[in-house]
Amino acid sequence: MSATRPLVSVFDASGAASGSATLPAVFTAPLRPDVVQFVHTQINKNARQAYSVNIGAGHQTSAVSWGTGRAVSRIPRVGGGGTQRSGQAAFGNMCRSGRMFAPTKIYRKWHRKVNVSQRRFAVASALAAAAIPALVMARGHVVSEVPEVPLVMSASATKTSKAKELLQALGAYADVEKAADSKQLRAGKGKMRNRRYVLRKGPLVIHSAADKDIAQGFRNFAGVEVCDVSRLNLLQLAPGGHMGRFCVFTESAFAALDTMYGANGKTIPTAEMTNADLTRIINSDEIQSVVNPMKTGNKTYLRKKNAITSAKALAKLSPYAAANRASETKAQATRKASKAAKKSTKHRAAGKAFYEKVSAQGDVCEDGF
Amino acid sequence: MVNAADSLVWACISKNNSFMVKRNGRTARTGAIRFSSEAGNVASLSTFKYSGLANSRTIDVTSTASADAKKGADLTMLKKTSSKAGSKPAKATQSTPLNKCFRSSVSAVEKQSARADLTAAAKAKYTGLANGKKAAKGLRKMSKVTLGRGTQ
Repeated sequence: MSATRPLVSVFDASGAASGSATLPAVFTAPLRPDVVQFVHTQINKNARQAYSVNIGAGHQTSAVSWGTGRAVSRIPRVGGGGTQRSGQAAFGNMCRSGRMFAPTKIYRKWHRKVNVSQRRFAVASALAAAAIPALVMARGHVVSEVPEVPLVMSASATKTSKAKELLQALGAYADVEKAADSKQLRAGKGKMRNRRYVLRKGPLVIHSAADKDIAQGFRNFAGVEVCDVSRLNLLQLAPGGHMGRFCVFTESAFAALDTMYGANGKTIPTAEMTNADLTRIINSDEIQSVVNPMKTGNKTYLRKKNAITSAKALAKLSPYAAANRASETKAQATRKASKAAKKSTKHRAAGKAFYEKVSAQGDVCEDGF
Repeated sequence: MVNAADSLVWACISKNNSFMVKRNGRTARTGAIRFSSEAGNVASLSTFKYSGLANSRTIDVTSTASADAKKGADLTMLKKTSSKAGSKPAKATQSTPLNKCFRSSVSAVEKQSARADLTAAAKAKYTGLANGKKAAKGLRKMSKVTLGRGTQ
């Protein structure tokens, strides 16, 4: 475990920090939601009560099949006559009054044995999660006004009114109110089976044998649960298999954790990774010195232009394209000008005069014709 | 307190947490989207980048908390910086009333942002909220929402 463990403030009845305690080593246990969830689903099965249908249900008749050739199916049929029941199909799960398919038995495997080391692992992990505000908030607890997580109090309260004042001073009462406000009718048949209401979980008050009287003060709040530190229960520390229950420790219970786990108690599971900070690993010199340089994003290509039809595209290919074009334009202009000059007014005048002359209407017999 | 790494916390809460809101289909192809409703999540999206729970540094703009209402602020900037976030929830976030004019509020968001990658989103959220507040007071018309194809 880490050599130096941080100090945690201990709060008195007025909500002021009155002292400090060393953080028990169990809070350095690895966070393993997978282990917590698995162990929770397993041990959650251990409070189940056996149920089944009546062993003889659907079989209390002496039906036999009529066989083939009677134009009815080969299902067993109730024998005899004189009642409506005679001749009716029986036994099959598809029959009226038949037995169910694979009738439930009371000797089902109701309970699960979970290795004690796994259970301890899960409890240690759930405790460690209860010391991280982000995980406590993610479970839905209202801890925004709580001065410190894990919350340790030196004060005691054996009356509910005093306990309420204490929780208010510690900023933990918002979570109790949230749990109380959440009370609503249960969905489904549980309503008629003495489980009428459901409500969210509030804080878990953890005390030691020395201050067990505290249970009397805290036990009556909606959603609040009280637990002895020597009897920590995963079902309370990680309700629903989600770790990060909001825990309020008494000072002696907090100190007792150090005798239960760590150097003076049970071994705390070791983490798979020494450093779980992925961002820090990625940005470390060791990694950054060996990784390939960053690949720039995909290059975007422009649409291909035909250099024959596009002057701009041609200009990119040939540095003389623009000059050629300019000189060609100039040559064209010169050609045009010279052509125009050839068709000068002089020629046109001469042509006009000739036309006038030949088309003049004279006397046809003038020259002796 | 033992400081858990941000990425480790995100690994614990990314699959399921109290603030997650799943909408639409079951896969990305059928339009599945995960929102998140915690304070400090500037885009309200359930991703590591925006998570207000997992990140020890965040910036967010919200509608006013009661403490700042006295100062005449409509909106508040919430900021979480790393020093207290690890163990002291009550001191983890600082709130700043954004009670000045639009431009100075935007520059306040810009200057005090603890996360460069969230600044643009925080400014965008402030702009949207400020415009909404103005419209609610009748000082400004809301811009017309363009609906999708097939709607009228």
